[in-house]
Amino acid sequence: MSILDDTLAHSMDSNTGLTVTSTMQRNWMTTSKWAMFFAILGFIWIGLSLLSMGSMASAMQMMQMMSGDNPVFAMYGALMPYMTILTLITVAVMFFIHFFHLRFATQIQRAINFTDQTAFVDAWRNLRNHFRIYGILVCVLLVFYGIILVVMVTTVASSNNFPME
Amino acid sequence: MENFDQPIDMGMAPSMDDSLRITPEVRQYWKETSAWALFFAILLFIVFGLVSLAGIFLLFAGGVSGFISGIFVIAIYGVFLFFPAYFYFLFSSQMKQALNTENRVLLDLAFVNLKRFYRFVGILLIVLVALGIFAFLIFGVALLNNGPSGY
Repeated sequence: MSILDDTLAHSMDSNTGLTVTSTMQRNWMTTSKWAMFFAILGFIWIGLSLLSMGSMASAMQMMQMMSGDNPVFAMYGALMPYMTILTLITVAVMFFIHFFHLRFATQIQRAINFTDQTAFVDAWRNLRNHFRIYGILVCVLLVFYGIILVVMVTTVASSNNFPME
Repeated sequence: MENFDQPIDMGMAPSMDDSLRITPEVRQYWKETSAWALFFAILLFIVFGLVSLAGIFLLFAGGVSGFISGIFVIAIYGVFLFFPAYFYFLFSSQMKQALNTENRVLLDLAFVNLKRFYRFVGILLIVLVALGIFAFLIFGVALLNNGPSGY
């Protein structure tokens, strides 16, 4: 009797009904290969962004030095530190997005190849983190662009107030 | 007193160590992942709707060239946006249902759709990157041939 109770107790721990099948494992392997591809592409993109940001910053500085009193370049010069900080923050966030994606890919492959339960749980935690950061970034960008859109529309609307004469 | 009539591993858990276990922690991670996937699916569907509207507007209000470009816009952007959204949506809804009803078939299906999403977006990215590199090379060759001051 105690054997049955033990079996039942242990099976309740893992919520019977849902088990890992070989089909799932095959799908996970394919998914992880594509996820690794995306993560590597993402890291390459981050590297290229940093390079282009560095070269643009120095080009802007050169233009600013050469143009003297030009107000447009003076404005760019004032904004440059903020733009640089904003870009660096975005790059850092994107780095973590792709890092978690890569961790998911490597951990799920390890879990399937070596039946590693710890890696299995880690993999899904990393995928959750990837989705979470990506989602938060998208929400922030949506709000940011929404605010810019509203500001632009109100600026255009207020500048079109021609006095009726 | 040891009971020699019964097997030596009596009372121990069935050997679950040789397969991966879906623990409550994993289920929680799956639940949260599917919620975010639903968010992305809805966003993509909204963008797909807006692009389709713009395409339809071009179709009817743009004249002949508008008609052609309208078809292109709907066909290309529509396909690029619809299928990822659809696969994400299926993954999310099937995962949620599978976790609620302990349905292994649905769970399998959910992961099939997640794989389909990754495969579709992966192939799309490869094509876009290849096209981008190709365009960059053409542009570069054209610049080299004509030069910035060539007329």
